[in-house]
Order: sequence, then C-alpha cells, then structure tokens
Amino acid sequence: MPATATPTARLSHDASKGPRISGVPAILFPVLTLVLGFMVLAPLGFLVYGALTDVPLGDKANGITLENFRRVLTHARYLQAIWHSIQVATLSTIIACLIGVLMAWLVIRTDVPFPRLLRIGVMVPFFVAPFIGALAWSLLCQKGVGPLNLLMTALGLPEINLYTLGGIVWVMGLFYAPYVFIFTSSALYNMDPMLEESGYMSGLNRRQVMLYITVPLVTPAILSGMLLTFVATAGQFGVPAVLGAPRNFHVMTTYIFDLTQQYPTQFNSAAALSFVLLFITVIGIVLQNRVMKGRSYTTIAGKGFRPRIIELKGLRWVAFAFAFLFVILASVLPLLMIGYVSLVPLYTAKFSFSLMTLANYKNVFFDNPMGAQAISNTLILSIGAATVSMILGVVLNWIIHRSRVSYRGFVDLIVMVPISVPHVVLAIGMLWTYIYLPLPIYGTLWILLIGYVTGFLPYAVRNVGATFVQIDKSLEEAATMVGASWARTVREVTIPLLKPGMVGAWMLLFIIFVRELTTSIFLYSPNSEVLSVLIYNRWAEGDYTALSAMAMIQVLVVGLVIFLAGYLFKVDITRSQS
Amino acid sequence: MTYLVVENLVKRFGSFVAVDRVSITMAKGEVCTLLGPSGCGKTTTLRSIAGLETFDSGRVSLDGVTLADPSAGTFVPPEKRNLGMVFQSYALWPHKTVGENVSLGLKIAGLPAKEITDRVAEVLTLVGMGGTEKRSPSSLSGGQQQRVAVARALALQPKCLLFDEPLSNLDLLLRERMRFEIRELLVKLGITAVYVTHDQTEAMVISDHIVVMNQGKVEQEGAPTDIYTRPSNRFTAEFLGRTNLLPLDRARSEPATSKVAIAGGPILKSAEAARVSDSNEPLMIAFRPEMARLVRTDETGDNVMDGKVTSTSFLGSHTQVGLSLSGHEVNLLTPGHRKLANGESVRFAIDPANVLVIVDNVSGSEEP
Repeated sequence: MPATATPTARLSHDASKGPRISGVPAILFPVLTLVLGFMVLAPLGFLVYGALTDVPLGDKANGITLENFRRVLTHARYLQAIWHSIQVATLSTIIACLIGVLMAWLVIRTDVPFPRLLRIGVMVPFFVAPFIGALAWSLLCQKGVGPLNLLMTALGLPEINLYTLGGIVWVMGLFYAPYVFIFTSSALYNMDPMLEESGYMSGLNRRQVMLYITVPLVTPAILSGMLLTFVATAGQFGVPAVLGAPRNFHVMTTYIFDLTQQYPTQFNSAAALSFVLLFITVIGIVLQNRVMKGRSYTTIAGKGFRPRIIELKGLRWVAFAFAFLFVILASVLPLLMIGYVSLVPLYTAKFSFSLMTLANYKNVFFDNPMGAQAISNTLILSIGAATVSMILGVVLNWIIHRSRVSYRGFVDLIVMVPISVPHVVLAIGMLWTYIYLPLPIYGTLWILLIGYVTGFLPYAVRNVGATFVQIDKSLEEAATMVGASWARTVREVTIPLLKPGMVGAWMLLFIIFVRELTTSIFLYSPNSEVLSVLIYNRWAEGDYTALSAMAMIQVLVVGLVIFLAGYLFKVDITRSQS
Repeated sequence: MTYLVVENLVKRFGSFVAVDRVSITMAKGEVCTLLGPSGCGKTTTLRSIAGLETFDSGRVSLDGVTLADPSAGTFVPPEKRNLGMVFQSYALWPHKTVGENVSLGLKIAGLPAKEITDRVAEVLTLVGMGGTEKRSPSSLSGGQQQRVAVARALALQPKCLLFDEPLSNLDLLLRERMRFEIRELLVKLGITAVYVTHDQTEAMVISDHIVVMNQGKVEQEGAPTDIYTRPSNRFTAEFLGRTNLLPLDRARSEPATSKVAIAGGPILKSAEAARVSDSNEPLMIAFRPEMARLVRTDETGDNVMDGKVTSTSFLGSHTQVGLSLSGHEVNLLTPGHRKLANGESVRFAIDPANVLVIVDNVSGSEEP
C-alpha cells in the first residue's frame, strides 16, 4: 500500500468510489457550489479587472494598466482617505473594546444589579445600526439646536462638534461595542468553572486567579472580537458618510462612494481603492485566524455549573452607573432623539411636546409614494434574502458537515470569504460583475438581493451551522437506513431538528437586512430604493423629521421581530450571533 | 450457504488504513460479532456493509446481490439495501413519537395505514414495548429507547440487522440483561445479524461467530468457545479474558513428543506443541488463569509446577493468586476463598490440552 496519500490523490480516490450521492443532491450540490463560487469569487475577479483597466464600467478592456493603483497610492487625497480609515478603525476599535470587555465582565462575572437589563441594553446598538446612531448623535449635537449642545451652552461650556474624527470614532466605538461584548461574554460565560476553581485550590487569591487564569483564557476571544471589529469599522460606510463626508473628512469607504457618484464617474479608481481596503481587512482576518489558531481554550462547561460571580460590594452601584451610562449613550438617548424628532412638525431648538403629531409617519406611508415603495422594497428584500440565506445555510451546512463530496472543503472555505470583504468592496465588485452578465439583474431588486445574500453568507452558514453540528449524524443515518431518500431525510429529520437554528438565523438576517445601508446605497437604482437609502438621501437634504420617522419605522420593524422571536419562537436573538 | 459476504475490504483515510483486506462470510440466520478495541476498523466495516461508508476496494454482497464494489462501480445506496441498523446512540428521532419512529420506514415503503399500525404494534410487542406508540422517546429510559431502536430496525423485516455497539451507553446491570434479551430475540427471529462491540462477554453471549479485529485486520475468527479456549495469537488471547503469557524456549522444546519449554523454567506437555516446528513466527506459551489447578504439594504427573505466592486477592467467587514461576509472573484463579501467605510455595497443574502455543503478534509490547 503506497503511503503517499496527497490531498489530490485522495480526491481522485473519492471520485472513483462510485455514486455516493444520488438523487437530488447529485444535481443540487454541484450546481449550488458553482453558483456560490460565482457569487463570491466573480465580484472579486471583476474588481481586479476594473482596477487594472481604464475602460468605463461595462466596456471591454484593451490591455491592463497599473495607473489606477499608482494614482491611489500616490495622490494625497487618496492617501489621506487611507490614513483616515486606519485612524478611524484603530481608535473606534479601542473604544469598542474598552466598553465591550468591561460590560461583558460586569454582566457575566460580577453581581452588578440588573444584569439582564444591561445585557439587552448593550445589544441594542447592534440592532439599531451604526448609521442610525450617527444620525441620532448628529441631531443630539446639532449646532445651536441639538439638546446636548443646548445643555453645554447652559452649563457655559463650548458646544460639541461631532463632525470630526473624534465624533466618528465616538459613535463607532459605541455602536461596535456589542461585537466585542458578544465574543468576550460568551468566552466568559462558557469557561469551565473548574479551571478557576483549581486556581483557588492551588492557593491563588481572587486577583491572582483573574490575572493568571481568567485573563489569559479569554484573551484569544477578545483579540478575535477586536480584529473583527477593526475589519468591520474599516469597512463602515454609514457613520463617516453622516459625520465626515459633509465636512470633507473622507475615509476609504466614503471616498469610494464619491468616486462612483461624481461626474465623470471613476469606477476604475474606485475598484483600485476598494482593492487597497480589501487588502487591509484581509490582513485583519489573517491575523485573527493566526490568533485563534489552536487557542480557542473556551471549553464548554456542562452540568449547568457557571464560573464564580465576583462580589463588587461597595462598587456595585458605581459599576451599574457606568454600565447604565453606556446604555443611555448608545441606546436610550439616540432612540429618544429620533423618536422625538419623528413626532414634531419642525425640528427646532424649542422643545415642545404639545405640537406632537403623527403627520411625518402618515407622510411616509401615504403621501410620499417613494416612502411606501421603499418600505415595501425593504420588506420584500429582507424577507426574500433572509429566506434564501437560511435555505442556503441549511444546504451548505449539509454539504460541509454531512456529504462526502470532494468539493466540500472548497464550499467550507468559500462561504467564509465574504467576512473579510467589506460591503463597499463587494458592492463595487458586483457593479463590475453584473453589468457584464447577460441577465436582467442590473438596476433591479435582484442585484440587491444577491448582494445581501452574498455579503452575509457567513452569518447564515455559521448561525445554522451552530445548531447543525449539534444534531447527531446517526439521526439522519437512521432515516437513510429505513429507506429515506436525501430529500425525505432532510424533511423528516434535519429540518424539524434544525428549526430553532433556522428561525434564529432567519430573524437575525432579516434584522440585518432591514437596516442594511452600505450594499444598498451602491446597488440601488430608481424604484429599488430601500428605507436606509431613503433615510440617507433625506439626511443629505436636511429633512430631519421625515428621516427620523423612517428611522423609527426601521427600528420598530426590527424591535417587532426581536419581540416575536423571543415570545413566539423562544429565540433569544441577542445571544445568537457569535 | 453463504448469505452476507465481505471480500477483501480496504478502507483508507488518507494514508491511514482503517480496514485492511477484511473478509467475512456469513450464513443465513447467523449472528456474527466484530470484536476489537476502538479504532480497529470494526465500525468502519459495519458502516461499509450498511452503505453509510464507501470503501477503496473489495466487495460487499448480500444474498447473491452485490451491494458495493468500487472496481465495478457498483454502489447500492444505503436506503435501498433493506438492512436494519441499531445505532450506538439509539438515534431515535426526538421530535417523533415512538410509533412515528417505528413507522417512518413503513410509510416510506408505501404500506397501507392499517398494515403499518399492525406492524408497529407487532414489533413493539416483540421487544417488550407494546402500547408505547404515543410516548415520546425522551420519556423512556435508556434501555427502553434501545428496545424501540431495535423495533424500528426490525419493522421493515430487513434482510440483515446491523448493530453498532448498541449497549455501550447503558449502565452495567442493564447491559448484562440486554445481552441475553437481544440474543434471545435474534434466535427467535432467526435473523442474520452483524454485531459490533468491544465487550468480549457481550460478544460471547450474542454471537454464533466472532471475528476478532485489530488495527484494521482480522486476527482470528470462529465460534465463541473456540476463540476463547483456542486463541491462536496473543492479541486474541489477551482481548478475550485474562491470559498468562510465558516466553518459549524453542531449543529445549520437543514438538515431536509434545513438549514445550518455558524460558528458564519447566518443560510442559502441550496439545499444540506441533506449532513450534510448524511456525517461524515468534511464539509464546499461554494458559488461562482458571485452567490451572492448585494441587497438593506431593502431587506428581504431567505439567505439575511449583511457584512462590506473591499476592492473593479475594474476588468473591474466586481467589486470584499471583505466583512467581521460575521468575515469570503468572496468575491463577481458584474457586472460593483461599488464604495463602506471600512467599508460600504452592504446587499447581495444567491439563496439556490447555497449554497453548500462540503467535506473539502484539508488536512492540513489553513482557507481561
């Protein structure tokens, strides 16, 4: 027997082993893999094509050039945007980490009062979207009008100017803290308490246990959350678009957007700059994998034992005050502000509750045809894309975890690629891709749907996958042994057992899609506007009352789904996105 | 008449050979156990028969029909093989009732509703679970779940039943009882079955035929009593019960007169002495602890030896006596309670029929 079993040798072995898959999967699996490969890889390929040529979008190139990259990497305006992106991502990651780690520790491992309330409070910004947060904060700090600035003036202090690097970093830090919180809290929560108990039994005191055992154990999770936050903030579009772009403070994402909006459009430069952004985020993801490699210590503790709670004693209420202040700054104040503005006929410095009216809402729903259209587009797209993603999540997980097809490793790899591709980059790549495709996708809702599904594929696959791996494989094999075909097995066994995971994934994705801005703003066209796009455009026009009403509608839709998830399906979405 | 045939089965995972040219031939109605430690390839062999696993070369056929043969490109999908399988984890569908668990296969097969109801009731009664159709699997004890799993596997009247360590999740007492129940059921139904386990007692109770496997290979096969009393190699001898192993001195042995010599020790009469001249493989002398009898110190005859007591342990039904025999450590089992002082000299005898000459196939191991 030759001991030289290279991977390729093994693949060819598998192929020669006869028809292991038959029936539906024999067609479904390869076709789906090809479609998936195209959806993920084609935009990246066309991005390179766009960056290396000098022809307008849709034309055939007659040679390659490095001119776009030369311009992007030498012109001061581009370099400044790159530098700003790095600054924004680094600083907001630091703020998000400080808040996220501290909040996770307080909520999970101390006797801080009302931990459940705080946990929900921390997660609110995740569901509201940073873009809405930026709008709310810009309203709070409007020059001469915003309530926070009125307060500052009353106190004899200078007004806060949020249209700065500091303002962007502040809002992003607040709104990305939940990401770090999710990673850190699950690591702290799932840690085997015996690891700490054996520390106490070895004579370490509480401080030493924390220093020598707890901190090293959760460090990989924190670093991992940190790097993902860095990648996400580097690719963030909404916040700098609201707080930076109007004052000509450009980061890469907003600059890429400008390049596609100005006349004449510069899609080649946009592609080249996208490529640089992709390069930065890929470094972040590679580092993240490096950090996590072989270091995911968090052993799940069974038997319902949880790590020891640390008593804060006199500091309990101080800790609560800090945590609650964060909840106020990140959730309560922004939502109150938007809620208030959505209910007044005109937004002025004079606060008055007597004039409150639902006219803005009525206007969005009935008077403004674009409003009703955008709401319906948002719902159609979110429901459609969440459903497609969920189904893909089930089938792709089956391919990865259950099938023996030779390309399952490829599928496993490809579904995670979008996590390192900022949505701005994906959108630019898609613009370059689908214009060449002889299908009527460009300029329709379809391109948005494809963009949503592609961009958030890792979320779908991971969310469904978390439940999938908990299903004992022999439950499905038992169905096969009593004569069930693949389709029948999936229907009789897999789907019923996967239901909680599927519902959770669907709702999470629906929420993400309802508040999605970045992909939409690049890919929409007249008649395919979604709510986020309309809000963005209203903001550009300074129509604060209308945009607030629309933002509130968005928030309410999300809130309704979270409520339904919790009370109808018993799915706690605030816990299901790691 | 051959019924289930596995021929030269080879299964590789990368460069690791999980199953190495395994062949098994079974007659109809026979119960065959694949016995071996974890990782010996027994489960992979079973799953290859089921069709849940593909293999690299070889052939599996049942009742004259080829189920899988990679060289011919034949592969009957598992759902079309008409085999019943009982899984280690029971694998009862938690979202279905007991009745739904048992009836799914019948429904897929398209049987009329009336017949399904009858058949479900019949097989549930057969395993002692009659009337539990409406219950949820999670409300049943482990033993009851295992019975339902057996009922589910039986419902379709399969050509052959496959058991993948079905009792290993049960506690000891229940496991011991279930062995006999399963044996009784299989005999009653006259069904052909392949049973995988790492528990030698389970294998002895359940099977007509045992295949001892190690590192992907078949070490020995035969009826349970043969395998136990006449192991041909060290692995089999050690895996099925305790064995005293002693180094063989080939030079002092005389196969012609049935004499084998323990290195540095006495010369014994053995029924298997001929192996010494027949085989070039490394050989050892072996005997089971319960095959040696303590005798009076003035007794003489064949295979009577003296040893010094090094330890005694009272095990309840037996006393285990540790002895030093010419510097080699051996253990004897003697019925009832025997009190012996350490250092005391005792005499014991072994019937020549029970002095075994076996192949030392346990590679790289230390002396016992």
